[in-house]
Amino acid sequence: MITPLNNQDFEALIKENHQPILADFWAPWCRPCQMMLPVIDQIATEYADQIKIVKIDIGEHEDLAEKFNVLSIPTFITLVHGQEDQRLIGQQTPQNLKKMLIAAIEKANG
Amino acid sequence: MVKEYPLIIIGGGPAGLTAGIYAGRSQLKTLIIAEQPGGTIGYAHRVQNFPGFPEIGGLELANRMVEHLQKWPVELLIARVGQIIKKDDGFLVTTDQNQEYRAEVLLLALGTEKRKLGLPNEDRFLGRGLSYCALCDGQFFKNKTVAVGGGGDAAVTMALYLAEMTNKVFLISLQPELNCSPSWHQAVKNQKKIELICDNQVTELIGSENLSGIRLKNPYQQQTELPIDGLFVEIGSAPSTTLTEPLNLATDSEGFIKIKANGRTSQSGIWAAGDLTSGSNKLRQAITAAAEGAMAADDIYRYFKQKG
Repeated sequence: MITPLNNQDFEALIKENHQPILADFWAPWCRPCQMMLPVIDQIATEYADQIKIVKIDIGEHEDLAEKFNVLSIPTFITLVHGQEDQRLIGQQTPQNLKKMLIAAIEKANG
Repeated sequence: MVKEYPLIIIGGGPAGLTAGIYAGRSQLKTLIIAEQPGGTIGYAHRVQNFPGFPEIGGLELANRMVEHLQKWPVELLIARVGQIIKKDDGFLVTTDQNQEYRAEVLLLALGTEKRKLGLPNEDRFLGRGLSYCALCDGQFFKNKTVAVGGGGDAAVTMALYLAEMTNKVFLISLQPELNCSPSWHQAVKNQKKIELICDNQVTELIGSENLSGIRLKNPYQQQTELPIDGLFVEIGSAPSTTLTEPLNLATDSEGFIKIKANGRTSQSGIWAAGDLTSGSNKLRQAITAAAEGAMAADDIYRYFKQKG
């Protein structure tokens, strides 16, 4: 499931959620981010029970971009047990993203 | 079962989309395979030289082209082509998701890829202060100091865009003067936040976690190190040869595919159009790509008509 981050507290979301998280830092004005939308949708369906995808609009959440030292979009960060596991910067192939997700899922299942 | 088409267009920028519109009007069963429908014009901040649009955002122009194509019965597949194989009766096109399609003839409209600086730590600083997309990442540098590497139209419009949100933009051109159209040159002169550094180039990226400065080849105000928060690179582009090299197409010395006025390449059954060709006398604009796409599609229609 894809969760857009509205007024939720991301910290709380990390604590409450036991699955790995894929944080997708994006913005509506970003062309490569738009290109990634179908890929993210596909991944969300494929890994629905194993991972939580959180979309973070950097225009609305500058604080989170700063906290995660995001200086380019799209940036994809996996979080396992609340800690950053891996990050990918720029437009990605589905294969690249899946590889990162599988690593996070395996790490979470320990 | 492999789907078959008389024509497959690879690439969905102004060249591929225009060719698609013409092929649709000619009622030629056509598939366009594009990784990015709209192409790289979608990254342009402002476009002022496409007739009918005195000033339009690149992304909006790209989207309008895609919408225009969709008025015609042409299939558009969003995918990356992984391989093209020449067969006796045409071509087998395979996407990176292993979908296969057969074409009697091909139109290559793959565009070009952005050139990188070629510095050893370039990958490390990507997304850590180094960017190739000002529209995407400019917002991260509000009220900061940035540099733009490049001196052509795209670099200048990138600098002008960044000047709207940053404190200062150093525009670093390899040439003794900017290589952009006079109207952009004037716009740079009028923008007090832009400081022009000509006849120079970035030779080193400096920083620990994030980029904090660059080293210049020649001293600027007695210093070769320039402290900056971000570097945006726009130093032109070159055709990607991964897909086209195995097709043995004749190219010029810079790797651009040689075409005749009708878009035909040196190999039978293959046409090319847009930025990856040598057909626009190095102008390589959306308008020239669209024109090449139109001419190629028209010649392909004539080819099938003559064949009967």
